[in-house]
Amino acid sequence: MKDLENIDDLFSSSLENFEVAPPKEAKKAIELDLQKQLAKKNNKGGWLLLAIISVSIMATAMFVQRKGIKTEDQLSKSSIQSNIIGLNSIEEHNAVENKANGMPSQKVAKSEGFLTYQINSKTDKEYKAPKQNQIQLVATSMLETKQKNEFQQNKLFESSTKNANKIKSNEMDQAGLLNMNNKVEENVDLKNLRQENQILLASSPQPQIFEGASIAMYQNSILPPKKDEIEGVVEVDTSLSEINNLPLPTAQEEPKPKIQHYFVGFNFGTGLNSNQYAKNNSISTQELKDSIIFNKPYLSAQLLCGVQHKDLSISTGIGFYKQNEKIKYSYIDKKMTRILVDSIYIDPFTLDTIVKHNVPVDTLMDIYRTNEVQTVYNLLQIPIMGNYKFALTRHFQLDFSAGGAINILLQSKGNYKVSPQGSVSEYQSKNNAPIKEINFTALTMIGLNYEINNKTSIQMAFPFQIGLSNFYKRDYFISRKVNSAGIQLGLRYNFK
Amino acid sequence: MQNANEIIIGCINRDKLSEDLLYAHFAPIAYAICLRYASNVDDAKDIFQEAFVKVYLQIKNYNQQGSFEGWVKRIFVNTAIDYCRKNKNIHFTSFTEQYEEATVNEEVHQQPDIPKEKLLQLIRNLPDGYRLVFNLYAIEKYSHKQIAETLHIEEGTSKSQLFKARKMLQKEIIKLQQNINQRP
Repeated sequence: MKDLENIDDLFSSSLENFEVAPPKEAKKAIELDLQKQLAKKNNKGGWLLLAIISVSIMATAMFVQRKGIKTEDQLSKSSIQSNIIGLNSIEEHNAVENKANGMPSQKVAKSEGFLTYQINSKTDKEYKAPKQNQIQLVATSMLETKQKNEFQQNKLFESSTKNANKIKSNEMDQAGLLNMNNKVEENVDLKNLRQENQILLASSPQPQIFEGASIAMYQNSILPPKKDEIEGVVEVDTSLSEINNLPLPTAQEEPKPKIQHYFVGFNFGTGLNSNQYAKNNSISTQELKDSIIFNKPYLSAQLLCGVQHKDLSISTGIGFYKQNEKIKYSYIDKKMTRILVDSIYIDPFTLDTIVKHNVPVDTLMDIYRTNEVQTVYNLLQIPIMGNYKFALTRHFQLDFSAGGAINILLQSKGNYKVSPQGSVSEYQSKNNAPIKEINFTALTMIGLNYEINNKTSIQMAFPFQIGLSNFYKRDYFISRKVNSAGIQLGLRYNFK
Repeated sequence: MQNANEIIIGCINRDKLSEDLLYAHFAPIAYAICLRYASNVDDAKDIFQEAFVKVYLQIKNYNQQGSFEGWVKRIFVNTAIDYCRKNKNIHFTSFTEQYEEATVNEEVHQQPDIPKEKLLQLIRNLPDGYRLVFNLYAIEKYSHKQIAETLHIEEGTSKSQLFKARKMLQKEIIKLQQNINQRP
């Protein structure tokens, strides 16, 4: 047993700090591996950054949309409020005018024949007025002689009410006031009232012509005009919630987008390239795999136009694509080198052994070279894309696109550095570039559209580009297909 | 001349000179560790490369507790263990014999004239499981409990592997001694 433990000691003492020189190529291999790992790490950082930016943009868009709804909602409230204030000021004005005209009312709101109160129909539907904000809507028929007569004869509303008789049974005062206050539910079909007479109380996206009548709106806190003070006034006492429950008149609905329309747009994008390599000649695929590719962001800008039919569209355009790259690759090169050796041979005549020192001999030696190529390519890109939109919400649409692009080389510039010689050559031309003047890529894209209004939308998309043809010319030492992934932001304008 | 701390800081900042100095200082001892754990030179080179890259990448996490050399060696040993686990399908056979009572007739004395390279070769000739356990126990001074935890095996298995490794080595050393003694 002790002998066995001696073995432990023997090995431990001999080998614990034993040193063996590693192979010479190990250091280079470590350096390459380290740079590769660092490049990967940087790429990870880039993707992480891209993901963070994308999520931030999405979150911002959603926040803006939510805020947009809220704002719209708030606008409708403030619109009501401003109308009240506005009409009150008109009232003040009209009070003087009315007095001058011998009109008895301080509260008559005389408009110029337009319904000034507007609420977006969608918002109106969504708007839930709290009780304390319930309003009274006062429609006032005015005062042109002919209309006044009609009004007094109840013709204005007669045709619009199923229960015309009941309305008639309501008292009309001396001035011809039809007072429907607090009796709306019993007597008037508001739906018909709105549809047939176009007296749109609160649901129109457009100003409504409302000849010969005015509308005033009052909060509960504001006392409605006294009926004996007002001439030619129809009071409709209801709440927004009742109005909201009514279906919107079809004539007043927001116009639907045309089934077929054209669009123009532009977008900007950035992202990273990845590369598929294959060897063409002296450099082996393995050595290329060991190379380090520093992916730098590409930049793109595009002008697009197209036609959309329902959810499908086709687009084309012209774009500028700036691709940056830096490749560092290593390979073993053979070089004829003169070395000095000791030569031993036997003289065939004397059979003596002859030794000669420092005899020069030419031999092929392995030289470990590293080349670094840094290039910027400017390309003209002509994309042709098919596109399908899938509605997520009223404003947001998911957008799937697929197609292809023709890339035309405009210019390439960069430098080519060879070590260990350290020679650096720079080039800036189109003809000397190792890449083809035209190459083809397939494009796919997934994006999110936000419709600002019927005509304008913004888009955030993630384009993926897959190389279809060899990026380099045939006689270049490697083949390469360029793939890329990125993000782009754009704006689109629709027209007939 | 840079001291150890300057080299570490330099490596953290990706200073080429510091990285070269670190390599020059640790490469021979690190490569010897790799050779001890690997059964062939190609595996040793792979472990060496993987571990050295780890050292460069992880050096920023070195917390100055314990010697830096110990930290570097630990990375190499751990990388070697991981490599063996990943790339070698090692089977640790359970040992049920009463190896504690086993005796060996021949005497083994430490022979200063056995070259270290020969001793290293003996370790590398061991089966993978024996080699791992012997390295960890005899040279890295792990306990059987630690070995069991590291390699996810039973303590008994660790003991049996060690015993078998020792026996094999003992035989080989005796052969070597005899060869040396027979030389004129």
